Amino acid sequence: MRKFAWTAALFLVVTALFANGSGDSDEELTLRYASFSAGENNAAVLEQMIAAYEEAHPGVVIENENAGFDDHFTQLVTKIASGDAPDAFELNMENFLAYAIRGAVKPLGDIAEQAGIPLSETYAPGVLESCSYAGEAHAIPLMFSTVLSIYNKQLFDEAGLAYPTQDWTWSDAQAAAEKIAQPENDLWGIYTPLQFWEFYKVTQQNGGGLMTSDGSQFTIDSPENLETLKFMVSRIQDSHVMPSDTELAGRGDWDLFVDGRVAMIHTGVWAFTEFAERCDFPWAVEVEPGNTRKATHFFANVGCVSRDTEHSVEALEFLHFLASDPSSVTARLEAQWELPTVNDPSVLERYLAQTPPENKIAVFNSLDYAVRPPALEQYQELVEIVNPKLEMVRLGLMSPEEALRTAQAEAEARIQL
Amino acid sequence: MYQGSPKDRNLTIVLFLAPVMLVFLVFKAAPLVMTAGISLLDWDVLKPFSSARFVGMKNFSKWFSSGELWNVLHHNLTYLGLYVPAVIVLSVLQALVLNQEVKGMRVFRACFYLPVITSWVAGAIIWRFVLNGRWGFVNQWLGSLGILGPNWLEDPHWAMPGVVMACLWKDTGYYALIVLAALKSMDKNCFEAARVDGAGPLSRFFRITLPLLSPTLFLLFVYNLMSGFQVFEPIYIMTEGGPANATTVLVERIYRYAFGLYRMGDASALTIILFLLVLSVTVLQLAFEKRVSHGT
Repeated sequence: MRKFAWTAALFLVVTALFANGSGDSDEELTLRYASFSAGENNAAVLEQMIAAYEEAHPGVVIENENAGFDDHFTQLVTKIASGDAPDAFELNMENFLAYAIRGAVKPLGDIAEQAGIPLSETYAPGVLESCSYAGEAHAIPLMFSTVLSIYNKQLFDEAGLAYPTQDWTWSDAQAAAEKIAQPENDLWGIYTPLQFWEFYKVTQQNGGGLMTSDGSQFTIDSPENLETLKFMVSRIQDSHVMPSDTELAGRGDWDLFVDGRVAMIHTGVWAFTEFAERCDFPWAVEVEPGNTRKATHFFANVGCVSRDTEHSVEALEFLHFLASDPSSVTARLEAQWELPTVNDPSVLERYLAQTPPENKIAVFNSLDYAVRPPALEQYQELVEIVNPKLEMVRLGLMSPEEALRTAQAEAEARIQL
Repeated sequence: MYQGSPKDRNLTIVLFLAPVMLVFLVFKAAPLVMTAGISLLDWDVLKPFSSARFVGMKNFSKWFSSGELWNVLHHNLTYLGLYVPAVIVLSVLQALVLNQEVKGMRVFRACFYLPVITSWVAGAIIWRFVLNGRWGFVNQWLGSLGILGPNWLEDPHWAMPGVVMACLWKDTGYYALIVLAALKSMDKNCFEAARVDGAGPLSRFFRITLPLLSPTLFLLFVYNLMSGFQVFEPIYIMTEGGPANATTVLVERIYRYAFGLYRMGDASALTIILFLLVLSVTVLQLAFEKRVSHGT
């Protein structure tokens, strides 16, 4: 019995020693990095970048916590709330603002200076600006993307129509869509999703917006927004150039385009890889049409340093490597994993050289009209308020007037500005 | 028979119970107490816990005064109203079929149980096809009867019945197995005696099988009532609470408030409301259990 007790005690001591020894030796630093954008398609590319970083920085080990989009944010919130946040993590644009406003990420000015990283020289100015909050960079821009009007050239040719140009307005796109659409044959002129993220942009194409420019008031039910919503829904219910949910019958909008069933689709550059693989017709891209002005999406995935990390400099160095090291940029370009953010014209040339689509320069032209989502602490709450109303309008269960009026009232009651 | 002194006996009981009690305290009681505590705070989960503010019962009063709680409860009750009677009736029917002694019945039993072990993700994909408004099996079948089927999961009026159909497909096999076990344990002499006395199959079912099944069916009823209030997985995977918030339910709201809106205080208050609802079902179960078991 005594022998057993001694053996057990010895086992525990040895286990404890090993447990202590394997994690944190003086020589080795382990950084935890949580990300989502690699997904399954680019997981190997991310691993390759991490391996390159570890090779260049002996003594630093990166613990990669890669997850799917939804899981990443659920896990991240749980980890932050329980005081177990990773040292560095990836966020999308909307969540970045929510996290920055709440102080969940560290401002990078001093850390970058300490690490000797010239942020403003490395990254494209507009892109870096989108990672700022309260006048200071709070994240490293890892990659960026935008939404374009992607069109099926064959359908335009068959209808005898000229291709879209950067000067097109809503009425030009509408006229073309009406000429092409044949609802009875499941052929559609245009597809633009009628949901919050599309709505905040399209309202600005009509001189509207969900908030005043200083962010002091909601303007959800403004006349410009009402006109916008009526126009968007009229494409489904009146001119019938866009399929209703019933007509879509569970198909994805990308499937509709790939099957040659829609002439124009407004979607992101992240569709390029799939469209290039699946479309058996020529297709090209153009900057989205506007009405009184142009407004386009700008999305970026950014890398943040956790407020709780004790290794801010090392975490920033790692993020900087992922975003700007030549090996990372090349890997990202080769994988068509969105666009690198570095301020380097040669990178743009390499990106533009990859086709399809034709007229890829529209990706960069589109950035001239980029608008950002409302910068609100309760941003997600605004989405929760507006999105179901838009859905009701889309399904024909609520009038645009009532939808915007109730959304305005709810936003004023629930969201503090 | 235990031979030791009463003191030793008590010590033995405590030692045997200790592991279970420890697990219960750490993983059940403590989180519940902490949730109750957080429900009294205004805590933005992305901010440090030190920034949380005590607000008393304000989170609860917000829920009770907002229309959202009643909407969500209405959806939960709609789910329960459609799901619970249907799952019990279908489980009994399925168990009666599976109770027949015919060749190949084991294969049939395995087939009926297959959806239970299928993951919800795969099940949801199957059901999105089955319920497709244009090409789905359900609408094709309705069409053959001259009925124009709805666009199930994209229609706010039909999304919940669509989810319930998928849940019935997924769960019936499990409950049928429980009913089948109850059927197998019945004394065959009762049925023989009834047959000799001239009772037909229907009469035997309603006068013998059903009364003998009543404790099992009551158990299924209570269990499904409790799990119906906690339904989340099928909703989250199939509709995410949509379209137009038509399938938002209690647990889905808890998840959204905690991880989407970062309002842990509100989410915890709703968790406590859910806990009280489930608790009240348990109290009702205890009150009615003896009566049903003894058929009085």
